[in-house]
Amino acid sequence: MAEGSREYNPDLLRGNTDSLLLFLINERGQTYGYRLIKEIAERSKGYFRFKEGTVYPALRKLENDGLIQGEWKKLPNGQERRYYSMTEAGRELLRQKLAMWQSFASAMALVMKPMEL
Amino acid sequence: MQPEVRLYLDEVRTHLHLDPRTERRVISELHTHFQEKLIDLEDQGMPRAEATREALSSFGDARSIARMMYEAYSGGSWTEALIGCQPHLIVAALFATHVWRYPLLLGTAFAAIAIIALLGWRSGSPNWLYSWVGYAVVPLLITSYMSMDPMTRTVSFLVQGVGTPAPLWQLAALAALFAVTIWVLASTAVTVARRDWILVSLMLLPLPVLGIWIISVTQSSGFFLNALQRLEVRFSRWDSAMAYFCVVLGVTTALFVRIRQRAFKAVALIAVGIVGGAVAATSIWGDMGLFKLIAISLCLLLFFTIPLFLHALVDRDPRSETPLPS
Repeated sequence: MAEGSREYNPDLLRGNTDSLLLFLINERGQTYGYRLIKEIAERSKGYFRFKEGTVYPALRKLENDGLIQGEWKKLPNGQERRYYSMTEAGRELLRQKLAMWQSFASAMALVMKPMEL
Repeated sequence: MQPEVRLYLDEVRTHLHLDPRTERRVISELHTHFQEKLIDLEDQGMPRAEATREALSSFGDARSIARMMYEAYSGGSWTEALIGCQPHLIVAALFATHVWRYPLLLGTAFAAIAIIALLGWRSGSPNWLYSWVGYAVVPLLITSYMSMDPMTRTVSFLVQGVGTPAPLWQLAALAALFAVTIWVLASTAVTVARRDWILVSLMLLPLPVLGIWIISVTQSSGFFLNALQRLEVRFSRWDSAMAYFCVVLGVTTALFVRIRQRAFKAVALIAVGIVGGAVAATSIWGDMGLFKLIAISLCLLLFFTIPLFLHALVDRDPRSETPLPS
């Protein structure tokens, strides 16, 4: 892949962070912040780059909006880890976002075909 | 834990300004993140020092993360906003119904406010607490101010040789009352400032206007019913103005609890405090001229920003310290 094609406007990611988090939480059933960050990095093959600390406020906002719910669990080493799972409202919003995203991506692909230079 | 990570988490904690319980939870979540990240990086063959640098740099600037966390956690619910504005509305009702002139009813209202403030304080300082605490200290301030007569008489006797000095027991009781008032005010302000100076300003919000009002009332006559009957008309006008002002403070407090951005909170408080104080001074003391009005506004600005300096001086709230493994 050409180097230039790996660049993206950070606003594009910022606008879609919630969708990425909701999708992964929904898929995992119950997961935690660090696991989500790793999963986004692995699945995008390192394409999405963001400051990891920004995920935690984003999770809290989703929780405030009633889209996910958090639960503290004690780890064997005595520490606590906050696990997140979807709420029904979160699932509904994710369904809407996925449908919208698929329509949008299909339309974009139809209009913007790779140029032959 | 690596000292660099501990320092980083300390810096985040310093700028969180959340209640101690929430701060502990936030720091605990971030701490677990760093532990796992360091283990992963070391498993990939990275030396510990390099892994620590990488973990910290990929997490982001501590202040920015703390600000985002604050905005994510600080917005109170509508219920909290409603509870937060109640003391202002109670005092507004006391003015609107002129009930403040009856010692028993006034005492009951402020005792209820003080009890609720105490219960909130003991239950972990929720978002709605600070307006209640502000009014809870008002009776002490009023009592201290109104008990100054023995001291004034004694000073007048000592300096001008006029009248008779107050008995020693009265002066001793007055000194004890002043000491208790100063101690309660100072210890409350310092404890709250450890968390966030804006909350001290929220506590102080009604005090300038109540202060201007109480000075005017006591100078015009006395505080309670009998002494005030001849000033009925004049005080009725002030009562309405004070009731409206308290409602404005109630709305400001509700917005304060709901707003997430610290800068907006601070601006809203200081603006309402200064404008409210200046309007109260003008309506109670009459037209003062531009120069005096500017001087009063500057004094009010100083009054509401003193907590900022207090916050810089005091240590962190030990209740938010998370015992992190070394």
